Amino acid sequence: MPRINMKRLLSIIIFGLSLLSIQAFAETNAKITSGILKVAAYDNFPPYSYQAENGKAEGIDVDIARALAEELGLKANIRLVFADESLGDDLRVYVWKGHHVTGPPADVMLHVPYDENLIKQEDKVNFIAPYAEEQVVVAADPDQLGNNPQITAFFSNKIGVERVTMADGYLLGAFRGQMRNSVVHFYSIGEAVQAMFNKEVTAVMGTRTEIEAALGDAKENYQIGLMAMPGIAKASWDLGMAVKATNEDLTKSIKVVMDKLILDGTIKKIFNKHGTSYHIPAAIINYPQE
Amino acid sequence: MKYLSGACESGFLKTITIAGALIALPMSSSAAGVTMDDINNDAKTTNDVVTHGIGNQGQRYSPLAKINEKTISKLAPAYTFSFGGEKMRGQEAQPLVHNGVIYTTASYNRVFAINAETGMQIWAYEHRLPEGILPCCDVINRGGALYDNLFLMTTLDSLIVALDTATGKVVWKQSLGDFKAGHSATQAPLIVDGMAITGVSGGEFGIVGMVRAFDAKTGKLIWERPTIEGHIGTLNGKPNGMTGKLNATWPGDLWKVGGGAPWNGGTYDKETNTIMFGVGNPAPWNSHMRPGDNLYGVSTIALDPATGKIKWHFQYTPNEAWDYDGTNFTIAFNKGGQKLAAHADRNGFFYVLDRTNGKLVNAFPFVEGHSWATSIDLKTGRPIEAGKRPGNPADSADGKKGSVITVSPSFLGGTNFFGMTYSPQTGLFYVPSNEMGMDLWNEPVTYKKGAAYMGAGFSIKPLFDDYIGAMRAYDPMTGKKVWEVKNKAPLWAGSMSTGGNLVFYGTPEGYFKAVNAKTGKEVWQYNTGSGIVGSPITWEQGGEQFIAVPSGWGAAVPLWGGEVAKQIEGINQGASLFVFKLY
Repeated sequence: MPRINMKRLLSIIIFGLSLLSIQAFAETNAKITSGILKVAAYDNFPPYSYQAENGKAEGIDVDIARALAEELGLKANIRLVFADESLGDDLRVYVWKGHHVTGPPADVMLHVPYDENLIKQEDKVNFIAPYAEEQVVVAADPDQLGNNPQITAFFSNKIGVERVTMADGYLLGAFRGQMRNSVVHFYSIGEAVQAMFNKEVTAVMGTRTEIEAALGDAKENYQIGLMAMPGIAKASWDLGMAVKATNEDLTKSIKVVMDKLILDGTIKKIFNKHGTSYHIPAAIINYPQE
Repeated sequence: MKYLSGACESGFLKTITIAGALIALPMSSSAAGVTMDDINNDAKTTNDVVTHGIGNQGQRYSPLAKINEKTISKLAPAYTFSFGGEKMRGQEAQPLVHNGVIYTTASYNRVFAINAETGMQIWAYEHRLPEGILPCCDVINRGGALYDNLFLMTTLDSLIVALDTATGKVVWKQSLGDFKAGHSATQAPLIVDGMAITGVSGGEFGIVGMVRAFDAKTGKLIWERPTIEGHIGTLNGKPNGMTGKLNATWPGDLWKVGGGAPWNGGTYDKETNTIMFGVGNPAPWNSHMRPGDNLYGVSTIALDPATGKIKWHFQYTPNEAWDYDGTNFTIAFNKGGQKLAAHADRNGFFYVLDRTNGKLVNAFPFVEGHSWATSIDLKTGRPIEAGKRPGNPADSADGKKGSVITVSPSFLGGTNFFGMTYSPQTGLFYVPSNEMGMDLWNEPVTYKKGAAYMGAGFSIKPLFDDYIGAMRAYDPMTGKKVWEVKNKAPLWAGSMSTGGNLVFYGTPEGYFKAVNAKTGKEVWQYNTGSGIVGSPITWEQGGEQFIAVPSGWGAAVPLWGGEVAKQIEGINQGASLFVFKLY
């Protein structure tokens, strides 16, 4: 990945935005008369969104939703929802149609991938406001693997993954399955990282934000990075939001507000507050060319 | 395929009792409860239906013959009972009847007790579903069980609940696994030796299948048997041996998250004292990641009721790759002095097994479309595959959609959860079957919970212009198709055969039909006004033969996209129990 001159990039974006700023007030009027922004975010998904012990929703996505609602002059009503078998199901139930058990859809759903193929496939929602890049990384235990291990280390060393993730599929299939017997499956990244603490696995492969949060204060003792992974189908993607396609007012106003929150550093601060690094979305890096 | 415990706070449950209606009970409300003898003899006794499958062996046959080809023109509704409210979603249940009371489940885990003579409601129970249940499929339930003075039901939030048959109040409830992790249940419990035995749904969320036996009167867990090799069962809270042999047919640790949900329930054969459960497909979906047979995914497992240990197994689709769950019922029957069992699989083949040891006796296709395999090798029991295995997404390094293969049956199967029926009178099996294929391709990048993974795409299509569904009669020993009745829309409802030489079944078009069991000639039909996806029963009361069938469109069928959807457009919702007798 080429190094980006962040200062230059930001100046280009800010210039672009300033042209729009005259309209900004009008465009942040989401025309929601109830005063409440109904937000769907995934449940049981630390550090992004989960129910804290006090029963309240917490996490990166929850804080982003609250910041977004505040800028829109609304109060965020955050609903923690369960991930169904596919994103298409989630969008149908939580964004554009609703469901006879779970009720009407939310105004906006967070943590929706911003991917050009998805945008082509799903015409019932607007994919908007990419706000962070997610990356598939390996966190390795130097006590067990030494410094700078390569992917081939996992021909013979145990590596933990969450089931049915890109990391899982990659490690089971790559190199004609030669790493398959090294893969140890868990139901969450948190469990996998705990197994690394216990030296049951030498490394964990998964999404950076989840791994960093699970490592917590122990982060310094492990090597976290983008490893060369020949043949991986997707090593990073952007996280954005989805709004029902017919809701043009909300679509416009969220775009404007989220641009502001990314540029003024609010989003980065939220990630850092939860002990995770922030990675600017590829879609924003490409913004001037679009 | 898909269908949702543990966090069973008492607040989830509520009961609505319609007081006063109790007076309408034709018999003493303190009448004797259902005994094990009632259950074991259910297939022979005609005054009640106390088991799912009209007998634990699941033949769905009644010897009653008052309704027959000669009299059936006088068959008309005695009454209909509305499940009411706005909750008109797929009514997939098979009702039960005992002591003049019909007990049936309805969508959203509701239960109704109805006076079988008048159609008046005695009580209703409404299970309060937590908001977090995964709404992937529909809010269906397939029926309950009766034992002693209890009516037992499994729930979408993965509980087994026992209700007092006199009041509808909860007597006990137990968890079948955390619904937030993807567990769910829709099957009717099986009552064997005073135990309520049930599996669980949710294999597509990676949960490992489990069959559990509870003391039916108290809810105390007696044994658990995991369906996937490597996991340890329990008996009375103590370890009771591993399922299969560790890593014999699974690589690495994939068995730990191996799926295999026994989501459709089981049958029981008293003669050989064997419980037979069908097991769902192994996880993850991509068969290339789990080389090996992946036992006991897509198999029938035969269990010893006393211990829950596996006596034998038969696997239908080794290293399963097409979502051909092995969950359809395995039905005991005797022929030529042999103790046999029959199973019409999602994979399009009809299997006859020796139920004393699980050895294959016969196998033949019961659908035209079975392009994934040409035949079953009768010596080894293994399919002769036809090179239609979906490709490996790992081979598509550029992240592009893989090549499309067209294969049949579709993942919805040659037949599905709804029971076929066996008539000892004709010696034939009657299979509600469907001719559908699917396009299947790799999707190296799909998303779940906001994260990329390697998945698959599919679309279902009919194989023929003029029909999808077909009711078919087969001789299990020769594999000969004796007759068929085609149906435009897919058949998605259970069937029943009777001593009156009739076979009854419902259609999505709303018809409840009777055909001659020997010839397939249609002799009677009645339109219930909504699609039928439930199973009929028949019983005798006051010297008259009654037949009941739920009507109410919904469940998996309306969720299908593509060309199949055109065959089911315009079918109205409904939610009623229709009860018929001769006039």
